[in-house]
Amino acid sequence: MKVIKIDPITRLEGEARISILLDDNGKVKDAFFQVMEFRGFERFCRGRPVEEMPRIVTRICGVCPWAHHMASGKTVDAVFGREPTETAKKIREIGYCAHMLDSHTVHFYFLAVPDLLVSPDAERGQRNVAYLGKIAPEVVKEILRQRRNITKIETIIGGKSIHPVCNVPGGVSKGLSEEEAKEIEEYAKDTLKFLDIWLEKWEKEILTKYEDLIYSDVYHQETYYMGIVGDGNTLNFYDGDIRVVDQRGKEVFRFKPEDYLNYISERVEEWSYTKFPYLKPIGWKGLVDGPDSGIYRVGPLGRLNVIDKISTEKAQEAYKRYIEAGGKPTHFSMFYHWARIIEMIYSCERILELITDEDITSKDTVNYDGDFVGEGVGVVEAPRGILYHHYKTDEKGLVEMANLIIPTTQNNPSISLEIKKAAQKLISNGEISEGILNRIEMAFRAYDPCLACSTHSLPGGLPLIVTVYDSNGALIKEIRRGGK
Amino acid sequence: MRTLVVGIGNPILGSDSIGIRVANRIKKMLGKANGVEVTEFVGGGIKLAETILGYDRVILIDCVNNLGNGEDVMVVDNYNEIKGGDTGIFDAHDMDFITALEILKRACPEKTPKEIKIIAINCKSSPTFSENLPPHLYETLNKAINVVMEMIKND
Repeated sequence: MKVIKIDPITRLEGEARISILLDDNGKVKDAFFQVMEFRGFERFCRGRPVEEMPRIVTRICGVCPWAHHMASGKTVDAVFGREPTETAKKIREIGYCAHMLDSHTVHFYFLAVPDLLVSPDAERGQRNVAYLGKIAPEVVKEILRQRRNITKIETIIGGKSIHPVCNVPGGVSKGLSEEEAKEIEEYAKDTLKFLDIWLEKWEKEILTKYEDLIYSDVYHQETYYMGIVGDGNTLNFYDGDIRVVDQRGKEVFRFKPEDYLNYISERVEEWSYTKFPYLKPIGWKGLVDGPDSGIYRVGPLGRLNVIDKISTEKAQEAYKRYIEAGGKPTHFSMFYHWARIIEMIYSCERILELITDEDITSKDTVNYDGDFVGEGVGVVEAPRGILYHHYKTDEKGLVEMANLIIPTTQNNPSISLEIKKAAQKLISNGEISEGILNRIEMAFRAYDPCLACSTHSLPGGLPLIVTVYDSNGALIKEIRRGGK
Repeated sequence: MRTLVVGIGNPILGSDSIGIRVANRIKKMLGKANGVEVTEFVGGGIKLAETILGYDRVILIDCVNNLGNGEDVMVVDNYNEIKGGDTGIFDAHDMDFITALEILKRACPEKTPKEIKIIAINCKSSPTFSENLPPHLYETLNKAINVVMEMIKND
């Protein structure tokens, strides 16, 4: 038996290993997605004043600190029994949409686009944005300019672009001035124009060029999907009910955030440090898809599968074309990339809606009234999927219990299944070319997994390894990069 | 000349916080009158590269698990020497810092710093969740501060 381990993790946050085991005939017998984990963050939180949590949790990860800040802020609101003011909710949502843009631009332009604009079969050295910068420097320059717009919005709202400090119990610590609102509006308008170009590029260029790859059954799973929905089952990153649809798009569960433990269970596998969440009422049937398996997917693909419409004009038009192309629900994993573009357009449009709201510069940014509850659940849609925070405190407000369920952890069963399926379909006779390895990498890169979060480790803290073994268990290939 | 000092690390990860601690101490020692800017940063890759745009000289301070030469503090003048190496600036989420910097050089050559130095601090231990710096690193912390202060004394 051969074991192949790939290093697709070179462009991901945290550390992981993919091991592919070959049989004597060179066919894939099994494949594992393995992640090393630091445990102890929840324990680290115990005994701390709960109002400190929104600032502490941003340090879990350098990739999605806004998501943790926002979920934590909502949890602390609930603990204090304070409903944020309407202006505070709008300001939070603007900052959060900017974070969605920040995260999605990094993934789309620095990870996905190089694969698709250069070629999935190109050499590793050419399949990155550095090469793109060499052949099309003006494109990269514009991408960087747009990212500066986005981080400026984050900084105005959050105080800092990477680790926001704006959320306080019942609202936000700082309102917006007229000048700041105008500045944010201009940035969002500019970025929206830029995204129009890329949506067209995706629909008319990339989709056509890579139709076989995007619709390949290599990147196809029939799972359940979970996501937050706003009023009328609209796309909403900040607040709403949690909806689960089945493989045909039918709603099977709908629940409030505080009831999450009735619907999600977590399983531990001996070969991975990361847990394997699944739908509790459906049950765990192993790494298989289909209606009997409780595996569900979250993130852009999951979100666009659980909603019925998008409330903003351009994103809704794009969403219609997306459904026509992929069906509803869409089971093609490569549609994660397309969904990200639509979500970026929605984010810009939503910022423009909120920033031009007449109350946006109101000074009413904190609600100080409420009865202390001592327990709360806060949920948001992080860029990679739904994020749960749950705290319990003592009567003094000191944290006794903290539980976090991370998007990448929820996608872990699907990522593992995706890699196995891709490896089985792409590798035969033990022949492994660079192009095949990259196509297997692409299977999980679509999910934009954030391993720092899923393992509760921290950015840049772990080495990145890829290894390959033969049928006797002997190592035949290893690639190791980065890490501390 | 615009100089930026960046302390890299995580304040809740024990030894990993040393870069930030060095930067914060330097910030207090310099006071407001000095023209040197000091900041802290968690992560790496494109976001770190974006942070240093527009400065003439940049000093990055980060910890490593083990320096090959056994020293407590090492000044790396040529960042290409540590490509693929062992510091936290190699953010795995998007790309490593060196690659990100090369992209910025091509896209915005006029804004890319002319001089980048890395202060690598040997932590000799794996990080764990803690807000405290391990006691064995306090002497190293002071050494690193002195190294950086010497570099910027004429700014």
